Amino acid sequence: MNELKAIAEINEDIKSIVYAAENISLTATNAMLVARQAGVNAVGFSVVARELRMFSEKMTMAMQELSKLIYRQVLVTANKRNRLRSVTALSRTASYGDLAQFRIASACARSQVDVDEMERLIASTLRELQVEMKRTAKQCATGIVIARSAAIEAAHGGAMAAVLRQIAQGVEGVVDTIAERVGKLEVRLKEAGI
Amino acid sequence: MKKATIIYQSGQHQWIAVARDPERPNYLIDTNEYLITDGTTALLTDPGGSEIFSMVFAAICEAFDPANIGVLFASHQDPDIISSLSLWLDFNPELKCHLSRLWTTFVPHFGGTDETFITIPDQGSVIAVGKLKLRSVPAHYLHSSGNFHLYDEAAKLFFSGDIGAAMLPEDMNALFVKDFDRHIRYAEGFHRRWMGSPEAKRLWCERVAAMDIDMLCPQHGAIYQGKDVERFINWFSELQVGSGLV
Repeated sequence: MNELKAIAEINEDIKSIVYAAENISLTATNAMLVARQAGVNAVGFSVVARELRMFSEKMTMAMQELSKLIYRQVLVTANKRNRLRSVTALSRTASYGDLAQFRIASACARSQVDVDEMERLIASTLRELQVEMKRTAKQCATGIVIARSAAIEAAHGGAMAAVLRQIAQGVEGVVDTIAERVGKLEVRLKEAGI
Repeated sequence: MKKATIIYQSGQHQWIAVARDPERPNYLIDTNEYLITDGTTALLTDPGGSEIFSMVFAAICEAFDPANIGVLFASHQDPDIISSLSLWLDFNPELKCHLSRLWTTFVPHFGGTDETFITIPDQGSVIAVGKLKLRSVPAHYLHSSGNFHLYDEAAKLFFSGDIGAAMLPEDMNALFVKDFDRHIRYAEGFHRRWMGSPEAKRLWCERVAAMDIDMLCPQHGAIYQGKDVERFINWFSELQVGSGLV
């Protein structure tokens, strides 16, 4: 698979994480509203809901950073494919005799310098992506703890216990989905070595 | 950077406009690309020149998986229309490109083989994208001698290639035409010089006026919608073109 195809696939994976993360913000808002309705019966849940809200804000920021990085990576990778075509065409020209080689050498070298520079940029963005994925994975671990706490606190919700439990399950589901996708993407980024 | 904007949506059927790149150098004409999707399959109109390939590709990636683009549509043979072909084929060698029969031996200078091209006869053709049936509409001599536009009857959207194009100043960067009278001043010079045949223009105007169109989407400049579609067709039918004088 060529590198542009690989990076486009990684972009799709990141988009799926961003979409899943959007649900966290909605779920957190919903959890806070329900906790408020439940009043004194859900003091513990209310604290967890606030944590969840903070978690969702951090996730939103992480997703914005990921989106920015992957956009840059797609752009530079596509540009590199373009420059590589120049290198290939110029190298082919250079093979048509000594004069052609002599005349075309500097153009060939300049194009290669461009490609090398883009490769450096791609490698450094890949490292940034890997760091950002690690950070997101850690946040997900925190999110899982919050989701479990929500489930425990829901049990003390009196008449609202069933609703709170449902919300806690929803939170757990979304966080688990994100954590699973982040985990897979971490592996994929390692394997890609783009 | 270029931006992908959904301009039509009905279920899985979408039109996504990829337009407006404020970072584009002035020596490159700005272009609009349109992605017509049916679920997970899509056609890309006039994918653009090789110098803007990365911007178009990155903008599409934000809205749609480019691996699902199966078909390209080239309205004609110009470099700002299709010189990125080799890069698109580099990404997906299976891509097919619909193109006027006149250009199938010219455009391979940009890339592609006889496996790549699906020839459009002079009278036009039907192009399938998933369950959608798009119609390539003849627009020969406006300005290319082998030239097609694309009509999506279900969406009532019409890709009009270079017709409707406007060379807009920086302060008029909206995606849609806001003030027709001001806008059309920036279209006039282009249409007078580029459109070569009054007879072809008359035929095109008659043909397009008979279609049910909500948006007329050119390859340069802003999109005409609602009443502005009819206003544009009327304006164009009155415009004197093809005098041959410079």
